[in-house]
Amino acid sequence: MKVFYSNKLRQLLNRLLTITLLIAGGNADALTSRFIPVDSTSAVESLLNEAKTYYEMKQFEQAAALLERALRIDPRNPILWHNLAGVRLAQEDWKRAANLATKSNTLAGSNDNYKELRLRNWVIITQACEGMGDFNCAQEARNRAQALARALQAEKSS
Amino acid sequence: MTRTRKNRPTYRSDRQRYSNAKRSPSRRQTTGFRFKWRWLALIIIMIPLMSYISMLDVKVREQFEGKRWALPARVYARPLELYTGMRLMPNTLDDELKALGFEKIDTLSEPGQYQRKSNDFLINTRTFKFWDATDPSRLVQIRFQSDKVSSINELKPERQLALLRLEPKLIGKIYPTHNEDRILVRVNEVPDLLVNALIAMEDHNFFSHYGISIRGMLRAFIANLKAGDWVQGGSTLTQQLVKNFYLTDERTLKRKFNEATMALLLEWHYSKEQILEAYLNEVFLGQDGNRAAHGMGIAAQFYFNRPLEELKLPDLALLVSLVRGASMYNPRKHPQRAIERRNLVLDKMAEQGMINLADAEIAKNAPLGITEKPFGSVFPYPAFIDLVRDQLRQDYREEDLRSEGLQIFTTLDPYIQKVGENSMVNGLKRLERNNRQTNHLEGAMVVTNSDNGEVLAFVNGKNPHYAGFNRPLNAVRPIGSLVKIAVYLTALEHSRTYSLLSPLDDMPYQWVDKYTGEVWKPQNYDYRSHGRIPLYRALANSYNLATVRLGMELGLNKIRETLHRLGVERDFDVYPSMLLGSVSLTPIEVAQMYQTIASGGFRVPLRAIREVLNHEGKPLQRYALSVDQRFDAAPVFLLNYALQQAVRIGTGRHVAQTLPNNLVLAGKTGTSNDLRDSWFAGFGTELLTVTWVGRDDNKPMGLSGGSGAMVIWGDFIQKIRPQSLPPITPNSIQWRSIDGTTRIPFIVNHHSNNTLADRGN
Repeated sequence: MKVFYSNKLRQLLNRLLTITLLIAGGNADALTSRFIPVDSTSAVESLLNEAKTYYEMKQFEQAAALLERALRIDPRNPILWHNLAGVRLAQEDWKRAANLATKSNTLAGSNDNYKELRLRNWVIITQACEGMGDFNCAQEARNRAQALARALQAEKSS
Repeated sequence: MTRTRKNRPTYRSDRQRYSNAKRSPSRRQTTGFRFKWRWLALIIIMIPLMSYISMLDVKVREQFEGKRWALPARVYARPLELYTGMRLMPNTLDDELKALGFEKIDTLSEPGQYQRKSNDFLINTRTFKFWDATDPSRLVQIRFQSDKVSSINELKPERQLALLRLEPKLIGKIYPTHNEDRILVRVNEVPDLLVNALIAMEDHNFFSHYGISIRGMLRAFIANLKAGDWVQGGSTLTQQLVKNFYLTDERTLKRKFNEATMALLLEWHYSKEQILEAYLNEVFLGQDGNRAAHGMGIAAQFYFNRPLEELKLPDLALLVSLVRGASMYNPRKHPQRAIERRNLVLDKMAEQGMINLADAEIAKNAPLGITEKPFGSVFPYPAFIDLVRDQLRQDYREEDLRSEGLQIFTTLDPYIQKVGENSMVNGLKRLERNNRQTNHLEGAMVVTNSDNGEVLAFVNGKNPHYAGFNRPLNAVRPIGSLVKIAVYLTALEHSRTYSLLSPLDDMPYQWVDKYTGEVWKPQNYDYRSHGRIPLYRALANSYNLATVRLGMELGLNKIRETLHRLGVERDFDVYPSMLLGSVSLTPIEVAQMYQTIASGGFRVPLRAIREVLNHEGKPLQRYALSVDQRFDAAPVFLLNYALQQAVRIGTGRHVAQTLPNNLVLAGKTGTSNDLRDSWFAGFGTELLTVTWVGRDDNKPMGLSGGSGAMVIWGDFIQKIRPQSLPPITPNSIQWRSIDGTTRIPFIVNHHSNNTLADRGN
């Protein structure tokens, strides 16, 4: 079923989603920032920190270059792919962002440690789909994100 | 107005005649008359002369100011990035440093040197400008333990480094049409000793004359007379520059006149520094085949394979000694003559107080210190450079590639390339030796990074260092059973209908073309049929009959669509025979196709270039990593499981026996009709390799995928020992035991994938 939202409604839904996610994640800082730290060899960590600095200075291509360097060292690290997706999202390179977030999810697999990461990836995909004007895909991604958020919340409360 | 002017002389002559009574006016009149003729004569001479000079002036200024040297594009390999825990053999680092022109020495004093004590390295790195940052020169200590980097420490200041990036190796150049090679230098960046040597030898009044020096000419004349030989030239550096810049080599009076005039003009318009800088970049200093080395920057690399700023007194004196005769004093051809000439430069410097006698003496006793062959005339990877040019042509004009001095940072890994070349060259020899009918074999190998699609090695045939037919890029050959992954992936995507255990019929099959009446009767490789077999075994053993039946059941158009989604862009006819690989592709196209399954269902465009910088190091373009999900991870996971079985127990089992057990590798063999083409595509989590073996004349050569290409791949993998971990199990996959022993993956949750319905298919 195709659902079309007006802009206002979409913004409202977005805000709601973000709030849901913030509650679910329980870590406001981590979710508003697209960068998450990584537990890995220090080479990857130092590249990630540098990338973060460039990201905050809005030098996105520099940040992307550093993340790609980190990925050459640790190609199956879903956090790096997620952060690269975040950089592309900030550049409004929607399609690339969505695909990179999907790649991150694929690498996260069913690993329980990455539940929150997967949630964040679905948020990126939601925003990217909206950016592309594909509200069908945005809706589906949003549903996935909400389902994960509920699961995380249930886990936390239990 | 015109009329008034015309009238004026008449009036004046009247006035002169009128005042005739006085003597002086009369004389004035006659002298005035004569003057006028002289003036006229002068004007008649001066007008064309002045206009000629102003023409020269325009030429001098236009060319000097607009002078943009045609600079060849420089192509670099990937930089080696070192980090703690990295798998790397100490010898590989040693080779890398040697290839970068680092000097192995006992005590380090400056950048570009290193010291090795078994597994400990002390390296003084050079500053290098990359796309994302300028890495400064550092003094670092690198330690190895059992073929792993165990620590990286910077010594000044003392601290641990997480990551150290070495400068990349120069692997190719794209020359201007006139084949001039050049690296621009700035006058304030060249060693003072070089300028001093040049001034001492060529023009020691350079900083005080106006472009030409009469004294200089006289002195040269006398000096030459005394020595009875041509020891000193009379023309100033400015004149020499003018000669190189604007004039031909002819020895005529007119040219001499032009040279002097233009030298004066050049000095009038420009500073000494500007002229000196132009000279340092223009002067011809060596020739190798077609390639001409112009300027001190390239000469340092041409003779010493080091940057200009690292050269010492005797090296700089040698460069200056070449100014007057690069071929006459060619140090590679005439070492004795070159030493004498170099020592003459050193004597001159001492004589003029630019260096002290002791230093001169030490330098005079130094060996020439040049490399055996000019660095940078023949580059070892012509096939890869072709690929790079191919990709660059999509974004740059050919003339810009040849003249703008672009710096191109590529993905080539010289170590993997070297191992690939060895496996290919030795493998082809061995195959020819062991199979009597097999000769004139050629081959190709493409190695990429499984996740990001960077091309790491590109091997072309038996003589990989010679440019010629570029097989990995251009050999279009039938891919045989390599195509089968498209059939099986199409089936596995229908996860409710097909699983790895779905029974397939491997029974005789025939197809009749309803238009021509032609009958197509495919056969298995062993000419037998195997009855009902599980799907994954049909793929692992590459059974033709089962595959054709499955493909016909799914529909040829579906298979074609899957091939396109996998990344095959070439058009092909849709016939049942395409199910067995009548489709023809190049090795790199096959690599692109297999890349999609090696990276878990994401199409990753193959890239040979990372970044392009202009000649000053300003970033122009980045070829960023991008992925495009074409298949859900789950069916790709199942397909890859079957391809792992193909390596372990299927068509690849003979080669697999030679590989370490802990490597999880997937792969597929391919053989075309009459054994004309032997293919193998193999991948793990780190590398994807596509190997082809066949003959250039397309004649049968008696090798199947398993007995040809795969053998070469096996050797390559054994030497490289890539990291190869099991693929990550997607959410929707569950492992189930069958027969109590074998565990087989199934798609259980058809919804819990990572693919959005409208983006996936």
